Amino acid sequence: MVMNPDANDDGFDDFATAAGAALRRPAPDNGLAGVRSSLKRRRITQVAVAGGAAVIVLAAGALLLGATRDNSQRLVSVDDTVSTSPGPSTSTSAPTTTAVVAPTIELRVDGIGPHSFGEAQSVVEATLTEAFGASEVIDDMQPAQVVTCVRWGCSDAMVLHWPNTGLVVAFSDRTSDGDVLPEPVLAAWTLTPTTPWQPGDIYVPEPDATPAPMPDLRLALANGIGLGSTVSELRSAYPATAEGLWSDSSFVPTGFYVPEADGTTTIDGDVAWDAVTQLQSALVAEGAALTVNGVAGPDTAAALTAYSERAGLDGAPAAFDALGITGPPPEAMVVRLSAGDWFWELSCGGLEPLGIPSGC
Amino acid sequence: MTESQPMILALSFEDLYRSEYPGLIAVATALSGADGEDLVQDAMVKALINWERVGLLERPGGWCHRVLVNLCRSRWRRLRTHAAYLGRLRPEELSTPGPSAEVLAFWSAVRELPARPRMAMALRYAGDRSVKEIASILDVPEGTVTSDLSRARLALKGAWS
Repeated sequence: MVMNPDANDDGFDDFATAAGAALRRPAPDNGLAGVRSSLKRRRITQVAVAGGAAVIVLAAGALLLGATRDNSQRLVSVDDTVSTSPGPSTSTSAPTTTAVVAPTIELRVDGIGPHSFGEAQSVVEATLTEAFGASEVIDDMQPAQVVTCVRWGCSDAMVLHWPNTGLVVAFSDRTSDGDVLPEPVLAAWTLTPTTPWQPGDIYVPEPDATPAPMPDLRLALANGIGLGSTVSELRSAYPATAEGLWSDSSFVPTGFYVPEADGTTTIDGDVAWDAVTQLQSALVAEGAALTVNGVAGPDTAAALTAYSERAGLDGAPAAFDALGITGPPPEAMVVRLSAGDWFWELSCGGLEPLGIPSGC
Repeated sequence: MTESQPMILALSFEDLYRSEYPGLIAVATALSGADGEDLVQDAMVKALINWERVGLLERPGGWCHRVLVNLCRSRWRRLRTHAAYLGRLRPEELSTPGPSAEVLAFWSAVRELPARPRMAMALRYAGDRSVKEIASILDVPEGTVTSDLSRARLALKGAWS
C-alpha cells in the first residue's frame, strides 16, 4: 500500500478501498451476547426506576399528611428574613401571602447538592427525589432522541429528568476504565427549561428564546449563575468564559464553556443568540442577495460559501470571524447549563445546512 | 403471535449482526477513530429494540448504518472527553492486528473533512456502500454524495501531495 495515492482517481480509489477494508473485522464471538446483555441491563434498570417511581407516587399520599411540616422546612416567607428554620412555632400570625421556594439543592461544577460526581445513583437519586419529587426517565432508545452517552459508556447510561425543575441528570454504570460498576454513579447534570427535553430544542438557535421560568425551584450555581443569567453576568463570574468557537475547532455559535487553567471544562451551556440572523445580515452587507429570516437554509449556505471563496477564507469559522460574528451579545441569556462528563449527543440540525462543522 | 416467531426474529437478528458488523465497525472506526465498538454496539442495541420493525425492512443493514451515522454525527466531542476516552482504549482487546499507520493516517485525514463528505467517505470506502445507499443513509440526493466524494478526494490528495 502506498501512502501517497496516484494522481488519478483509480489509484485513489484503490488506496481508499484498501484503507476501508483494513478497518473491517468479523463480529466478535461474544458480541451478540454483549448486545443482548446491554439491552437486558437497560430494561431491568428502567423497570426498576419505573417501579421506584410508582412507590414514590404511592408514598406521596402519605407524605401529604406531613406537607405542612415539609413546607415549613422548604418555603421561605418573603417577609421573614430572620429565620427559616422549621422549629416549633408559637407564633399566632400566619405566614405572609407570597411564598418563595428556597433552593434546596445547589448546582456545583463537580456535582449537585451534597453529592459529587461518582457517587452512587441510589444516594443521589434519593436526595433529588426528596427535594423535587419523582423523576422521569428520558427514553434514549430511539435514534431520533437524545442518546445518553457519558464518557464512561453510551449504552449503559441513564438520564433522569425532574419535571418542573429543568434538571436533567445522567448516571453511568461504568468506570473511566470501562468496567461495569455494581451500581450507576452520578456522571453529569444539565439545567434546561425545555420540556420534554430534546437535543434539537437546546441547540437550534431561537431568535426570541427566553428561558421559561422555573415553576418552583430556581436552581443555580453558588455564584448565582443559572438559567436566565446574561452573558455579561457569565463573563463577570467566569472571566475565562469562551463562547462560540470551541478549542477543538468545532463551531457552535450558541455555545459557551468555562475552561480551567489546565484546559478542561468546568461548566458549559448555550445562550439564546440568533446567530443565523446575524450571519444573514452580515452576508447581505457583503452584497449577498439573501432574505434575512433567521432560518439556515440552502440560500444562506450558498451565500456563505460564496463569501468564503471570494474572501479566500478556509472554513466557516474563519468566515464568521471575518464577518464580525464572534459571539453572543452581553445581554444574551443562558438557556442551558451543564457540568460533568456528558458525552453530548446532539442534533446537528442547527447550522448543519450551512456546512458548518459543529463537532458532530 | 406464535411461539416460533421470536426464534425466527432472533435468528434473523443474529444473521444481521454477523453480516453487518464488519462494515459497521469499519465505518464507526473511520468516523470516530477510536470508539467504534461502543458505537456499533449502541446501533445494534437499537436494532434489537426495534427489531420487529427493522427486521421487516428491505435493507435492515441500511437502517443500522443510518443509526450508526446518526450516532457518529451527533457526537459532540470536547477535548477533555475525547482525551479521556482515548486514554481508556485497550489495544490488547483487538482480535486482529490493528490497521497500519498509513491507514490510520488516511482516516485521520478523512476526519478533518466537513461532516457530510467525511461520512460519505466512510460509508463508501469503509462501509463499502454504493452511492445510492449512501444517499439514502444520509438523506441527500445521489448527486450530492458524488459531489462530496469528489471534493473529498481532491482535499485528501491535496493534503498528501
